[in-house]
Amino acid sequence: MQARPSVSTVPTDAKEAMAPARSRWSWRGMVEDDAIFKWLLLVPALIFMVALVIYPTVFAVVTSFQKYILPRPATFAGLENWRWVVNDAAFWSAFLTTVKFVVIAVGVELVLGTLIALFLNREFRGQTVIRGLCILPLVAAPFATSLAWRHLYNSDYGVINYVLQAIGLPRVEFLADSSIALYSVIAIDVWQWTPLVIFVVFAALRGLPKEPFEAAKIDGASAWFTFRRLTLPMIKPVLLIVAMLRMVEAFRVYDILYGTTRGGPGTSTETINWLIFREGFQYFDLGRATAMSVLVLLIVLVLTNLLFQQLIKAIRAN
Amino acid sequence: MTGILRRGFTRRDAWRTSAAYATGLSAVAGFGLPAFAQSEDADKIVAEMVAANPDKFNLSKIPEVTNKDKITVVVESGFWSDYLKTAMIPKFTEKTGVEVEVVGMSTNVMYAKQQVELLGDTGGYDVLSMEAAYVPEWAANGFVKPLYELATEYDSEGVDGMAEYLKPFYAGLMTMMTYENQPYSIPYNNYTQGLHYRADLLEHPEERKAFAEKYGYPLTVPTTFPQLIDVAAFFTRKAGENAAGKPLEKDLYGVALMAGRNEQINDEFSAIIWGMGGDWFRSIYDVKGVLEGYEITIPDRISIVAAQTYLELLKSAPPAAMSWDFPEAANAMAEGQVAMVPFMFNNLWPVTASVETKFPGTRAKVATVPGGRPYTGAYGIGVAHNANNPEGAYWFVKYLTSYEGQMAYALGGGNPCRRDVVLDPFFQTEERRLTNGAYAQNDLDTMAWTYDVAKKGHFTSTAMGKIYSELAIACAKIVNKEAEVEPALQELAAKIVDIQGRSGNAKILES
Repeated sequence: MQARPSVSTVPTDAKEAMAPARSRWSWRGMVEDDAIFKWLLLVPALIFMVALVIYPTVFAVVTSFQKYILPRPATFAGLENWRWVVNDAAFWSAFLTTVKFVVIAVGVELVLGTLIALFLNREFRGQTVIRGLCILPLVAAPFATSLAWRHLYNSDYGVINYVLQAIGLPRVEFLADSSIALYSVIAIDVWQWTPLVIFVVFAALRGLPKEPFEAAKIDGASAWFTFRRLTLPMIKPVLLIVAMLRMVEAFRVYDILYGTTRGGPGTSTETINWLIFREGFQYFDLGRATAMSVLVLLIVLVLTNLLFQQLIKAIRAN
Repeated sequence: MTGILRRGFTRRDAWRTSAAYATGLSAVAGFGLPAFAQSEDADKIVAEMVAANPDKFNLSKIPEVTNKDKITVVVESGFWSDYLKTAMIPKFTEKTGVEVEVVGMSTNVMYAKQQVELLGDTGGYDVLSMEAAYVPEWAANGFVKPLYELATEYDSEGVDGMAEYLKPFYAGLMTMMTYENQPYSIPYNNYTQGLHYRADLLEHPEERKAFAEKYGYPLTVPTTFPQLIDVAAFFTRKAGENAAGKPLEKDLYGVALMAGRNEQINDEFSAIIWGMGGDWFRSIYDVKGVLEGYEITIPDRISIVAAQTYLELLKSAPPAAMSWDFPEAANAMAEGQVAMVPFMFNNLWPVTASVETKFPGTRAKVATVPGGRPYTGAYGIGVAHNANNPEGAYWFVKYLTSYEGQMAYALGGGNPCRRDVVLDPFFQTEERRLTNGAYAQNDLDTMAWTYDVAKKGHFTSTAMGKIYSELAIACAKIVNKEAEVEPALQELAAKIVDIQGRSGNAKILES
């Protein structure tokens, strides 16, 4: 980008040149000084960042070192909350459940979404309708979706069990059997969020240059070889971005659980957010809730950073 | 539904039942409020009843309200909030000039949502809805205005008038709404538990004969837990087998339980523990009746046997019960899936009794829960400490809980907290049985046990809103076999000590 010439060194007309020297910190001076002006443009965004991200984060970190149970005033508690979190079996159990949820849900969504996007990236009859239908799960509210699924999963009158029984399979307790309840919830998440992957990958596929694929075709490359050596590396940055977005979102899972299992049976679908909600908004122990939140934030930051490094590598490789 | 029995469950039935159930579930999202419309002539009946009882407080007795600011009230969603909006509130506004905004809320979010507003001191609500278990907490924190204080300020009848007004309410329920001798809230929704059962099965001569042959004692409505386990196991049968002389079209189970990860699982466990003479934690009072503290009693022998009893009962419950809450449990009886719902809230009687209309020839009845100590309590309403219009809020609370208000509540199928309404001969008729048929039994149990249960830690600890969640988690862990009974109860004991220490009013005493 071409640098903006400084007004103070390059006068535009004689009238301005004859004007008395303007203060650098006057409004006009700031607008005309590039070094100040670029910061001036950033101010609104910075205010939002400080108010909505930095201040709450700092507040959460500070609170995590306090004994702060509403409505009592906060007092300094040192590492007490952190010690409690680290030693709390329920926290680590919920953490494990969350990791399981994130890995399986995001993994399935990426694979399934990519496959469907590849399928949609062809010309076929009714393609517009099919693509349009794919967006439907995305527009439904997750809580409403989870309530609908709760009924679909019902073992007595749910449609899924009806179909299973109709084809001679046994009835399945999707939400009442602790060995499969988490996977049933994951299936809801996959149903809801795979379309996001589909559309992002689909857009990436549409933007790929045609020449390398034509060259591969001329060379007699198989479809699998072309996908592995051409398509996948080219859409890798997009896949990493969508993986990152979905991972962060999946870590926050709460509404689906609220409408279906509420953490049960037992604690088999209890995730970190469920625990944080309980500690923060049922017990109103902000110290412990924020200690858990900050710990999760740190873990998510590390994971996001790892993905981000991969993203940079992938962009450079492309 | 009889059609379904004849031809089997079709795909159309599956869709239709799912949709109907979804509608019903949302309607009973409040604490068990039945999903049926008010009768068209409810208004007329209420007006006649009020006219026949001119001595009781009613709308016409509200004096000129000076503060005309709009009030915002929290009520449980369902038929009650709808009825308020369409019938009672317009009359109240016409009489007082105070507009009322209703915020309908399902009971499972009521605590957290209101608590957030109260802690934030937003003044968002003038009238609060509260479960008995969190009255002490809110009262201790000063979130609710004492009724006597409001009566002194706004009511010419003063404290004595308010004391007189509260007399028709169940004394035990009023105790739950009282903290340090000050009533803070007036109960309107009584959720005392009862044993809801299929009399056509339990009283059938062939079943009685078969039971006596198998177990060596007569089949009666269970009053003890071993009996309950036997009767539940006896009626657990596969489709094709006979029940009451007819072949079953679908599997029948002995009991419906609320074994899902919800707070009601704790209510079932509590009824068993209390019925066996035990406690989770015991309130200790000094000679003057002042609460000294709590003694943690779990994991004692009684609580362990209580948990084992629950696990035994689960064997006779539908597998889906592991995810059930009260709407599903009540619905299981309505759909002819179970013979008994042993710890059902009596305000769900219209749902469980609907089995009679769905399956002609069936008969629903209600009895005292086995052990005789049901989980008991009520939802009440009170005035927020930071109400924008405390005067309007006070008169609204009084109007809503008046004979007139409770009569309307009863007509809609609610379970009122005023004895003068509950015992009104109007509700004791066969015609009203499917709607109000649990009143007589509910009255007996509320009178017999509520005063004692009101002294339990459940209704005296200011940390109970929080402990309640932990009780449910421990119960859920036990039924899901994530933990052995004793270690799970041991862990729960530690949690109670922790929470009571962090947020509670009284100390934990050494046992």
